[in-house]
Amino acid sequence: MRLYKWELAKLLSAPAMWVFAALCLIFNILIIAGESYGAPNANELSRRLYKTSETRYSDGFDVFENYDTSYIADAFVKTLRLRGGAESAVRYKYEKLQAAVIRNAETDVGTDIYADVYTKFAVHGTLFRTVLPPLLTEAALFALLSALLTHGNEHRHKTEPVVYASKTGRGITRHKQAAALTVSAIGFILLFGLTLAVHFSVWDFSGFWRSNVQSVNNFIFDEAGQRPFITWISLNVAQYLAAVLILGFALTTVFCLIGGFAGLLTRNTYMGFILIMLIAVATIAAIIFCANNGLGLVYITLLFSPVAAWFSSPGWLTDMGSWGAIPFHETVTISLNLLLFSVITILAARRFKRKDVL
Amino acid sequence: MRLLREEIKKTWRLPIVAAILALSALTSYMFLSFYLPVNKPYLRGNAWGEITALTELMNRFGSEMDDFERAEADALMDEYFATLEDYINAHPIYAEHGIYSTADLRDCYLQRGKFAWLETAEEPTDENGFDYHGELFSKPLFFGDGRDETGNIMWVIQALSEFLREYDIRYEIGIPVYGEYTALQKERIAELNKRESFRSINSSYVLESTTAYASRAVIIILLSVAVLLSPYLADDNRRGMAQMQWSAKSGRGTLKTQFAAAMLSAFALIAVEVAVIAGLFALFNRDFAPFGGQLLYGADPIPWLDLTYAEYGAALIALCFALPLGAAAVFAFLSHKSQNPVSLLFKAIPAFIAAAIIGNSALYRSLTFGNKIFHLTRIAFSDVAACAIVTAIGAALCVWACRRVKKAEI
Repeated sequence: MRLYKWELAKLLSAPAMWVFAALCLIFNILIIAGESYGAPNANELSRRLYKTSETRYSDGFDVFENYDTSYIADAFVKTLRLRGGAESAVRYKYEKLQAAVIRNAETDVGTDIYADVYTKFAVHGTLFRTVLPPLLTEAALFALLSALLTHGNEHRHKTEPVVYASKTGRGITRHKQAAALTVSAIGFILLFGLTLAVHFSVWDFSGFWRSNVQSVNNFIFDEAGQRPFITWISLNVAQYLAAVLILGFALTTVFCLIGGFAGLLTRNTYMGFILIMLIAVATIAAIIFCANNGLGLVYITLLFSPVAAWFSSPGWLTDMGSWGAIPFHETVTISLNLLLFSVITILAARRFKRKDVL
Repeated sequence: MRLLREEIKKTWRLPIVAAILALSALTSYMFLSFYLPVNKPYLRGNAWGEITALTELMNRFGSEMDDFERAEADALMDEYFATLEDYINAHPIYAEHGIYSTADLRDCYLQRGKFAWLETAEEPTDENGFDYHGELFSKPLFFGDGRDETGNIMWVIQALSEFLREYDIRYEIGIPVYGEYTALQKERIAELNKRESFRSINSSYVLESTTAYASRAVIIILLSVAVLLSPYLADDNRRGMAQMQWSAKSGRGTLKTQFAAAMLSAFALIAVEVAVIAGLFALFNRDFAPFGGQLLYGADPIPWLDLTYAEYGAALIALCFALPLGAAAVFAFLSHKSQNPVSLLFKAIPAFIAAAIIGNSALYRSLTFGNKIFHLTRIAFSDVAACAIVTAIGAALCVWACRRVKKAEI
C-alpha cells in the first residue's frame, strides 16, 4: 500500500500530465463554444417542455409502426459483400433489432418530441457526436500516457538497479499499474466532469432528460440511408448518457492496460507509443479495406478491437451500422478487451519478472 | 558543416522513418484515397457529370461563354436529352417500369428520392405545399451500379442545367450579396459582377475536391513531421548531453545547429510527402487538367484573388510547406524542453492537434469566402495569416531557446 501511494504521488506530481489535462479542457471548451449557436432556441424549447410536460406529439407519425429492419441488413450485406458467417451475424443482429422496433412501436417512443427540430444536429448531436468522442479520446490518451509514464519512470531516472534490487523488486510493476489505473480514473472524472459541467451550463437539458433517445427527431445516416436511432433497450437521455459514461470509463481502463502492457514490454517509451498508434491506425485502415473488398470475416473480427469500439462511440448501444456485428457490440467488445488486456498485462508483468538483463 | 551533417543523421533513425512510412501510407489510404478515384468512386455522383459537362463546354466555347454561346449551350442540353431519350427507348426495362420519356424518368427520381422508411407517411409539405423531401432527396438513384456511360447522361444533364441556371442568375442579378457579408466581400463581389465573372467556366467540384484533399494531406504531413522531430532533442536531454555539447568547440551554439538540422530534415520530409501526395492527386485526377488555366471565380465559393486553378494549386502547396515548417520548429522546441519521451508526448500531442486543426481549417476552401478561419475572424486572408502565425511562433520559440541557452548557468 505504501509503494502504491508513492507511485501514485509520483504520477500525480508530474506537471506535464496536468498541463495536458488543462489543454484538453481548453480544447473542449472551444468545441462547446463553437457548437453553441443552436443553444438559445433549444434552451427555450427545453424550458417550455419542462414546464408543460408536453413530451409527445399527440398527432405525430410513429416511425416504428410497420418498420422493418431487414432492408438495413440487406443494405449492409450488399454494400460490404458479406457471405457465410459474417452475413449470418449481420442478419441475426437486425432480426434482434426488429424486436426492439416492435417494442418501440408498442410503447410509442417514436412520438417523443425530444428536442424537436433541434434534436439531431443540435441537442443530441452536439453532446453525443461532437463533445463526447473527443473527450473519450483525451481520456484514453491520458490513461495510456499515465501507464507509459509510470512504467518508464525507473528507466528514465536510471533507478532500475536500486528499485529492482529491493525486497519488492520487480513486483513493483503491480503497484505502478494500480497507480496508473487510479490516475486514469481521476483523469476521466476530471475531464468528463468539468467538460460536461461547461456543456450543461450552455445547453439546458432540464426539459430533455426524460426524453427517449429514439425520438422521431433523432435519426442517423449510413449505408442504409436515413433511418431512426434505435437502441437495444429503451433509454431516456439521462440513462443513455450514464450508459455511455460507464462504457467510456471501461474503455479508458482498457487503454490504460494497453499502456501498461506496452510500458512493460518496451524500454523505449516513445517508440512504444508510436507502435500503439500505428496498430490503432492500421486496425481502422484494415477495417475500411476489408469492408471495401468483401473480406467479411476479417472485417467482423477486427470490429471487436478496442480501437473500433473507440471509433464507433457516437453509435454506442445502437446497431452501430457497419461498425457493429452483434447486438450490444460495443458492450461485448469493451468487456472482452478489458478481460483480454488484464490477462495480457499480468502475463507481461510475469515476463518482466523473469527478464534476465535490465 | 560536419556537425550539421551529424545532427541531420540523428533525426533520421530507421525505426522512426519506418513508422513515418507506415503511418503516412495508412492515413493516406484512410483519408485521401476517396479523392484518388482508383475505382472511380466519383463517377457515382454529380461530380462526374459536372466535369464531363463543363469540359465539353470548354471544348466548344473556350474558357468563357458569351451570350451567343449561352444559346448554343441550350442546344447542347437538347443533344443530351435526345441521347437520354434514345437510351430510354433502347432499354425495355424503363418501359417495364412505366418510363417512356425523360419527364417520366424525372418523376421516378422524385418518387424514389423520398424517405424509403417513411413510405407510409403523408408527404411532408409546408404550408405553401413545398415538398421538402421531394426537393432535397430528388437525387438520380435509378441507374444503380450496372449503368454505363450513356446511362450516366442524367448526371451530365443535371450538372449542365445547374451550371446554366447559376450562369443565368448571375447574368440577371449578379452574384448574390448577403447581409452578413463584410465590406471587403461586398467590394469583391461588386468587382466580379462588373467584370462579368459568371462567363468563366469552372467547376465547384474540382475546387472543393482539391481543397478537401489538401486540408487532409496537411494533417498527414504534420503527423510525419511530429513523429520525426519530437524525440530528436528530448533524447539528448535524457542522456544528459547538454553539458558535453556546451563544452565542445561549437559550444552553446550547438543548439542553433540542431534547430537548423531539424528544419532541414523537416523540409526534406515535407518536400517528399508533398511531391508524393500532390503527384498522386494529379495522376489520378487527370481529367481536372482542362481546368488548370481557368480562373477560379467561375466556381463556388468565391476566391479573394484572381487565380487560375493551377495557380491556386501552387498556393495550396506553398501553405502545405509553410505550416508544417512552422509546426516543425514548435516540435523541435518542445523536444528541446522535454527531459523524457513521455513528458514530450504530453506536450507534442496537444501541439499536433492544435496544428492539425489550424492546418485543416486554413487549407479547406483556402483563400475563398468559404474558409472556416475567415468565418471565425471575418478578416480576409486570415487563413494565410494563421499559417504565418504558426510559422512565426515556431521561429520565435527556436530563437528564444537559442538565446536562453547562451545565457543559461550550468
